Amino acid sequence: MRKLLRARLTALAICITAALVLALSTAGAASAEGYGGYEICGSNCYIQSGGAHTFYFNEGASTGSPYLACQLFNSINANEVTHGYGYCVVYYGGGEYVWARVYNQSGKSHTVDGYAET
Amino acid sequence: MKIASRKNLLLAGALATALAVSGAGAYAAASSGTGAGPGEQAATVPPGPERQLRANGLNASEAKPLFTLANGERVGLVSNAATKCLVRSLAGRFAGETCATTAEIAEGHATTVGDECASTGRNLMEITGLAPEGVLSVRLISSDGTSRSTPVVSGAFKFDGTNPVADGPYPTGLEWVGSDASRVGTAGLPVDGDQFCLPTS
Repeated sequence: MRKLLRARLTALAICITAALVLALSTAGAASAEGYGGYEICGSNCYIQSGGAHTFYFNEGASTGSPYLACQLFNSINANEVTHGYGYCVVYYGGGEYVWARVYNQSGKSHTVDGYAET
Repeated sequence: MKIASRKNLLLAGALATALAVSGAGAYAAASSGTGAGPGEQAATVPPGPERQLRANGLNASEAKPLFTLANGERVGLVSNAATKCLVRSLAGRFAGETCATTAEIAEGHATTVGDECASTGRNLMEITGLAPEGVLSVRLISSDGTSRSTPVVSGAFKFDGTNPVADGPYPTGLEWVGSDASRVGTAGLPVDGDQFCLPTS
C-alpha cells in the first residue's frame, strides 16, 4: 500500500515538474512574425502584423532607398516611430501588446517587408 | 596510423571552418560595396536585431561611445573599410542602428528620425546621422525658415527635440557646414512633410 502511494506521488511529482518546465520554456521563448512582402503605395500606405503581441522589435526593408517608417503602437501607452532610408528599425521596451507597422512615405510604390519579434 | 588520421581530419575541419568564416567576411565586405540600398543589403542576412550590422560584418559591442540622446539612448560608432554604423542602446540593451557606405553618407542617406509619439510620453524627437567628410557642423532647417546647429562628432551628429505640433513648423532638411562656416551641401530627412508621428488606428 505504502509502495503504491509512493509510486503515485512520484508520478505526480514528475507530471508537475514536466508541466512547469514546459510552461517556463514556452513563456521564455521569443516569437517572431514576418509580414508584408508586397507592393504598397507611397502615400503613407502600410503593412501591418497579423496581430498585437509583446513585440519589442520591428524592422522594415525595401528595395532602393524610399522613406520608410517603422512603428510599434497600441491605443494606450505606446507609439514609437523611426524613419529611415530603405530600412528602419524601432524598439519598444514597455512590454505591452503592440501592433507592428511599416509605412512607405516615399510617394512611390515599393515592395516592403516587415519583421517583428517579441 | 589512426591518431594521424584523426589529426588530419581535425586539421581539415579547422581549415574548412577558417575558410567559411573568412568567406562570410569577404561576402559581407563585397556586398557592402555593391551600391545596393540599405534594405537590399540588410536582406543578405536573416531578419532580426542588428541586421544591418550583421550584413556588414560589424558588432555592436565594438562601438565607440559618441553621445547620449535626450531620450536616454546612448549612441556609438562602429565601422569597417566600407561602412559606418551608428549604434543606439538603452539601459545596456541594443536599440537600433543606422549603417551607410561613404556614398550613402555623401547622398545624405545616413539620417534616422525617431519619434516617441504616445500621448502619455514626453513626445521626444531624435534626429541622428552621419555627415559627409569635411563637414564640421550641421544645420537643421525648419518649415518656418528658422534653423539650429549642432557640431559633428567623429562624423556623427544629433538633434534632440520634440515632435512638431499640428499645423506648427517642422524640420524639413539638413545643411552641411564646412570649415569656413559656409554651406557645403544639403540633405533631406527620411520623412515626408510633417508625417512625424503616425496614427494608432
